[in-house]
Parts: sequence; C-alpha cells; structure tokens
Amino acid sequence: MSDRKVKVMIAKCGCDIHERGALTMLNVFRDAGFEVIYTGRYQSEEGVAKAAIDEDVDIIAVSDLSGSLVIICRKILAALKAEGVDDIKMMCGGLLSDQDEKDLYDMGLFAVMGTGSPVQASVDAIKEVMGIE
Amino acid sequence: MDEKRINEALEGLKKKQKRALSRAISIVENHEDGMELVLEHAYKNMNDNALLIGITGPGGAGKSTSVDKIIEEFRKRGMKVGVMAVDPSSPYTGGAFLGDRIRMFKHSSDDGVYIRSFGSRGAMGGISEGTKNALYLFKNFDFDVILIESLGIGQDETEITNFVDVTVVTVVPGFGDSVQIAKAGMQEIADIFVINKADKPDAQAYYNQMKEQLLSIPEEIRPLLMTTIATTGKGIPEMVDALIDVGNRQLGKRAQKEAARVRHEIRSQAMDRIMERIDGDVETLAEAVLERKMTPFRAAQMIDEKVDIK
Repeated sequence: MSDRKVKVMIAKCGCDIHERGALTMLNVFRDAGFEVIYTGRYQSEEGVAKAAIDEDVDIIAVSDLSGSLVIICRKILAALKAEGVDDIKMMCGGLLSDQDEKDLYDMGLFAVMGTGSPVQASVDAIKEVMGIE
Repeated sequence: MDEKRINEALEGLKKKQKRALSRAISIVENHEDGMELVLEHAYKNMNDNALLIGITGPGGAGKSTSVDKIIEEFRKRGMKVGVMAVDPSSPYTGGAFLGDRIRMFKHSSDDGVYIRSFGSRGAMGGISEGTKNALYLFKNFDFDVILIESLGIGQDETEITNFVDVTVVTVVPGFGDSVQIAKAGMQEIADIFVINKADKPDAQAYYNQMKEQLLSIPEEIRPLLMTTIATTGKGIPEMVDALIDVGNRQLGKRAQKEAARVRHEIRSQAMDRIMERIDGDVETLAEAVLERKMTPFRAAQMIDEKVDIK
C-alpha cells in the first residue's frame, strides 16, 4: 500500500533575482502531483545540498538566469558528494549556452532545459527518470 | 519490501545519523513495506527529553516567519531544534507546495537544526499520519525542542494539542473579530495566543478585544496573550521564555495527553484500514443512491451491517 510521492526541490543559488521561472515550475510540478519545496533566492550550494538531504528529496531542480548554471550545479554536486550522497538526481533550467548544456549533461544531470522549453518537458523528464507511467 | 533500504535506515537510526532520519521519515510517510520495522525501532528507542511545541493558525498569519525567528532564539540559547512543517496537499492531484521552509532556509546549513516539510496528504485536523509517525522518529534524536507547524485552516486543528506540550495559536489583526475567536476550538486549544504583525494599525484594538474575551476563561487555564512582529523579531525572545515556562508547567499533563493520543492513533489507523475495506462497497452503493434507489443513510447502514468486526 505504498503511496510514494515524487519530491522535488527547486533551488536558486547565488545572486540572481529572476524568480519567475522557479515560481512557474513550482506550480507546474505541484499540479503534476509532485511535492515541491522551494529554497527561495540567494541560497548557498551547501545549504541547498543539506536541505535536500534533510528533506530526502528525489530531485533537485536548479533554476538560474545569470548564466551560472554550470558553476552552481558543480558546487551542489560536490556538496552532495561531501555528505556521501549519490542518489539525489539533478536537473536544471534557465539561461545557458550550447557548451553549458554539454557540460551539464557530462556532469550527470538528467535534464537540461534552456529558456523557452515547454514546461511539460520538465514534468516528462522527471516522470521518465523516476519511472512513472 | 526493499530490505536494503529498511536495514540501512535502521542501522543509521541506531547511529543517530540525520541522513537515516530523513530516509526513515520517507519510509513511514510513504507507507513503504517494512515501515512497521522502522516504527517499532523508533517506538522502543524514543526519549521524552524534547519540549514539544505546536504552532498553528490561519494561513498568512506569519507562522513560518515566527518559527524562523524562534529557531534563531533557541539556537542562541544553545538548544538543538527539530522542525516539522506541514503544508496542504492538493486533494485533486496529490501534489503540494511545501512553502514553509523558504522562510527558514538560512538554518539549512546549521547542524543543530533539522527541518522537514510534510504534505498533509489528505489529513484532517492539521497533521497527517505521516507526521505523527515521523514525530516518533524525531524523538529518537537528541533535540531539545521539536516545533510542529501545522496547517492553518483555522477551525479544525484541535488534534495537534495531544501531540505537543505547548500549543501556540498565531493570529493577526483583521483576521476576524471576537466572534471568530469565540468559535469552538480556538480558545480551548491555545496555551498561548500570539498576535503577530503587531505593527498594523488596528493591532492595539484587536489586542484589547482579545484580552477582554479571554477574561471569561478561568485564570488557571487562561491562555497567555502576547504580541510579536515576526519579520523584525520583536517579541520573539519573550515568546520563547513563555514557551519554556508554559512548557515546563504542562509537563504534568504529558501522561494524560499521551493516553488520549494513543487512543486517537489506534482509532485513526483502524479507520484508515476500514475505509480501505469499504471503498468498493461505497462505489457500488453510490450508484444505487444516484439512481434514487436508496438514501445515503440506508447505504451507510448496509455497509455497517456488512463490516464484521470480531
């Protein structure tokens, strides 16, 4: 009688005020039936990693429009590793170059969404990686 | 049953690893197979050292912001804090936005603080089954204080009182007049009433009104009335003093509350199981009722006769 819910943490790190994307995805994920936690803006990568572990989330979804996705994701992954955690999956969305996209996939993210991606693509990516439907 | 997952959680709980606490909470919250093992372990090894504080009140009253500042104050006093923050799940999609943590995110990198968000997952009365079970897990760790922030529906959150030593009801000026406060529930559950956003223009009038209202309650059981401005932290140290003070005085009631709680828990767990068993009958009978062949009352009677409890 397990009723497991997908738990997603939407994270914003560093000095980026652009919140619309994160807030939109928050609603989209909630309506997709996920439990969503939002970190709020201006967080540290270490704080995000620790919170994700405390909350036992399945996925960290990083949003950033300052062009720093590669740096942020690398730091979060390092922070997770430092805590000995390797089973939290990561995706990201926001402003990125072709090179960023390649780098992010190389780091092991399961989905990388550029600006203009349909919201459903993110939901589908999560469902696929979690093996739902 | 995912034996590796369960065993890892059990091992980690013995070593008091936070990671295992996180995992174990998920296991009981998700009703995963093997959750009984985790709960049995938790039940056997829990301690009663922590002061349990429940904070409730309507949405937008500033509960999360207050909790953020309360954590800060307890940390200043060198106490370890565990927080359970409950937010509503959608009854349609089952999805939830667990937004309390945003207000307290700065404590994420503090090892003396553990915050966990919960979706209400269909629970009535403010706290879900998962939350109740998670509380036993929290009690396996050495927290000095455990704060439970529960759903602020406003009128049906009396259940929380049996789980905590001190119940705080947070209200704001303009939320409702004395008629709202007089409604059953609110007054009876509060050990402390906090009027937040006390810098609002009508705060003093609201305070006076509440004060007068509370005078009708006998002095021994009359809730404290306090004011705070959570965004600036004004009134929070006084509130924490009151929490500790009232908490210590309530310790004598623990046994009585536990007895009520245990009964309630058995009942609600049993109800869940019975609900599951009658789901099919409800479906079939609903059609008959929709076709005007019988009344809902009669349908309920038929189910009652059928459910055979030995």
